[in-house]
Amino acid sequence: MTECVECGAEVSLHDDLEVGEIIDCTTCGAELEVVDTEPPVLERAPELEEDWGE
Amino acid sequence: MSATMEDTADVSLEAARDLLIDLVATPSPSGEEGAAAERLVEFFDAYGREAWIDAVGNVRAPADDAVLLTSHVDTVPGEIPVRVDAADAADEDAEIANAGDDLLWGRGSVDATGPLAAMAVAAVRTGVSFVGVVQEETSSLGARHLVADREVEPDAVVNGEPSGATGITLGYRGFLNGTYVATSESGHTSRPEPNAIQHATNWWTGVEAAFEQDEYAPVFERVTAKPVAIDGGITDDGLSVEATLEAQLRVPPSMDVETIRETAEAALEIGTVSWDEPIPPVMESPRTEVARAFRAAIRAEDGEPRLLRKTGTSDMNLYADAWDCPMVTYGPGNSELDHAPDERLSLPEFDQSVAVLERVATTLREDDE
Repeated sequence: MTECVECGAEVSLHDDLEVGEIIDCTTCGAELEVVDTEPPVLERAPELEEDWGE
Repeated sequence: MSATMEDTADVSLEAARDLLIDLVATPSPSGEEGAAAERLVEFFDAYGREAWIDAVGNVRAPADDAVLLTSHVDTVPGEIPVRVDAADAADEDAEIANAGDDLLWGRGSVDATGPLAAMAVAAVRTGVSFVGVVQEETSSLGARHLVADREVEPDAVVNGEPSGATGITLGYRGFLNGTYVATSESGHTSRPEPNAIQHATNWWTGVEAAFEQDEYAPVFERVTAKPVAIDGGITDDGLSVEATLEAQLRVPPSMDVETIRETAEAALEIGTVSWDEPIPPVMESPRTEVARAFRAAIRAEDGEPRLLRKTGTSDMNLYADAWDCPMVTYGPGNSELDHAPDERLSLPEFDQSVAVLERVATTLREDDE
């Protein structure tokens, strides 16, 4: 278990968590990215930006 | 095709930069990629990797298909003297390089020789598959040949285009190119009946009206209709007026190219439109194993990952249409310098992108075993 960085609710984590994985907060719906696993650290996942060109 | 971890080879930072600078210094406009392709083959040969040039000019270096690294060998035309100098404060303000960084000037440094060289180096270091494709800037001949020629699809694809060393491109709009043609009888210009030129402009006015959208909607989610060439006038024999109008339509992932084509044709009253082979839009999930590996690799190289969707079109559209495997587009460089007369690439950013690609390819190979 760890806390959602957006709403503070508890977020349950599975055992084979990997850095870079995106999980959802079931309380507020925020997309959270795992930035460390020992101990688990979550940050808000990057939002999709628009860019030009190829 | 599979490979073992013993198929990897060390490529020094100096050798990586030498490859990049050599490739940028070798002119390779679409259709004239031969010399640059030979340089890439030499690079793979030097590290004991089999590589050859295929029937259309692509550089093929197959190995472990846990991930295929592929970018384009061609550039748009335009000679920019190749040199390395130090970035200044203006470069830093424009998010091109940190002041004082080595900066490589030259056509293709950003689009997409930087990504191409970074991928070649990472492919040798990690033993994964690599292809340098031709004619991306015109017909995507190389990518079309690649998807038709490969018997099996790779487990994952990283397409090389400038996203910045910390950016991951997940989506592109689709592309539809059409040519309108109309003919009318010649007559005195005082007559009120519209001629072929007016038919062409009327059609285009109708197309623009049909695709008029909320200006506050993100560009990526809109259709962009753009005329790119127009020609018209009295024919040589003096008996007719002819008009041609070439147009490009960018298609968001929420729509399909067939619907766009039908909408454009519905605005047609007189004349005909012939359409080139369309390129469908693509929007990949940020939750795939490839995207996850990139986020982890970018953080490990002291970057803050960014997720991008681009309003243009790339060879990734074709790969996503042909293959079911996960994919992203990645590469060093600020895409605002695509095709620009002052195209230039930060060499530390190039080094960082090589390190990121190496981590990603290593992760995907390990996951595959």
